[in-house]
Amino acid sequence: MEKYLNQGIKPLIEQFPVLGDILNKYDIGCTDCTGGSCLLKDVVAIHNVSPQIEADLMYEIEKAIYPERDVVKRVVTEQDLQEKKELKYSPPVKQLVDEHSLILRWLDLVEDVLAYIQVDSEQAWQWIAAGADFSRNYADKLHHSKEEDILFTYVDQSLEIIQVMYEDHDHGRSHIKQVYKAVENQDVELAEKHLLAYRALLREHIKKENEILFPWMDRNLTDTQVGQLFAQFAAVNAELQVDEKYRQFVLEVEDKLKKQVS
Amino acid sequence: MCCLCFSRFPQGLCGLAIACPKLDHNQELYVEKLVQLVDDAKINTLTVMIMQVPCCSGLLALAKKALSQAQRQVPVKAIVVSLQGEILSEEWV
Repeated sequence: MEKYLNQGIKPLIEQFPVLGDILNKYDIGCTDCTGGSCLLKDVVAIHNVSPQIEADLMYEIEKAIYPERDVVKRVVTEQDLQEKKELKYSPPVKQLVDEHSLILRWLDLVEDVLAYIQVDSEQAWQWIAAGADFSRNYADKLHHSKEEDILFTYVDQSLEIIQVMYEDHDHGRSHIKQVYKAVENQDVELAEKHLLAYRALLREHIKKENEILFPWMDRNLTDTQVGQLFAQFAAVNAELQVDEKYRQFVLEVEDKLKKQVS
Repeated sequence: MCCLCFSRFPQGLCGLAIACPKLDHNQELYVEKLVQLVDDAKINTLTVMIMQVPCCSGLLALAKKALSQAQRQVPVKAIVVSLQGEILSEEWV
């Protein structure tokens, strides 16, 4: 089984098509993936499934590869369940997760901000412009740069999951470019189209990072690397110093929209 | 016996300091030394290894106090060891 664990998932699915069905059954979409350079062992590890699902999945995969073998399913212990119970991040990765929380808070406001154009157009366009600035300078320049220039350099950047993250960042940038255009022309339709697409993209992207990529990366970082990452992030934070400004922006919009509702 | 490990070098080499938060006197000196390790020696991470007995948790509190006084911040990891020497928990705090 060891030799298959170290093989790329795409050629393995070609060799054993039933593996694609098994992975799909567990919501691991390798069959739809455009690259498929991940190794079988990475596919299982990266998706951070529960210990029971991991045992079931590995049992089915081994059984599909070796139908003649008497495969024994791994017994999940109480200790396995305890270890997987809660996602705990290292301090630098936790910092990225906290930044995600602020980004999600802004994304949660997007629909109300768009609707506010009917109430107070000038105020709503100001928020949309400030939101585009937040997306460009906080979500992208601060947060995505920390990921692309620092965090991702600690893993093999040719991995499918990392390539997907880069693509998501690029798509996000093009949506925000269009939002700036919409602000310039006060084009409601264009703003709505790209803000809602940006929201859907980033919500899904953040979920993938928080629940799959970051826990997997954290499991592979040494303590020394955690310390290095922490210091590198601190240097970026000190250089840009934008955290407080954008925290205030999100809080202000939340407050004003809340008051509007009540 | 509790200890503090601090890594400073990319190769993963680490330094070790041993202390007892219950029986040692002048614990402010430990806080000062830790602040110096963080700010002056620029350690990379700080790992506090303590036994499961309640008094040992004082060493983690001491490390947190030092970090609150330091100019720099570093990740702190707490490792709790049972009386039999097994690692009961290991997590970033």
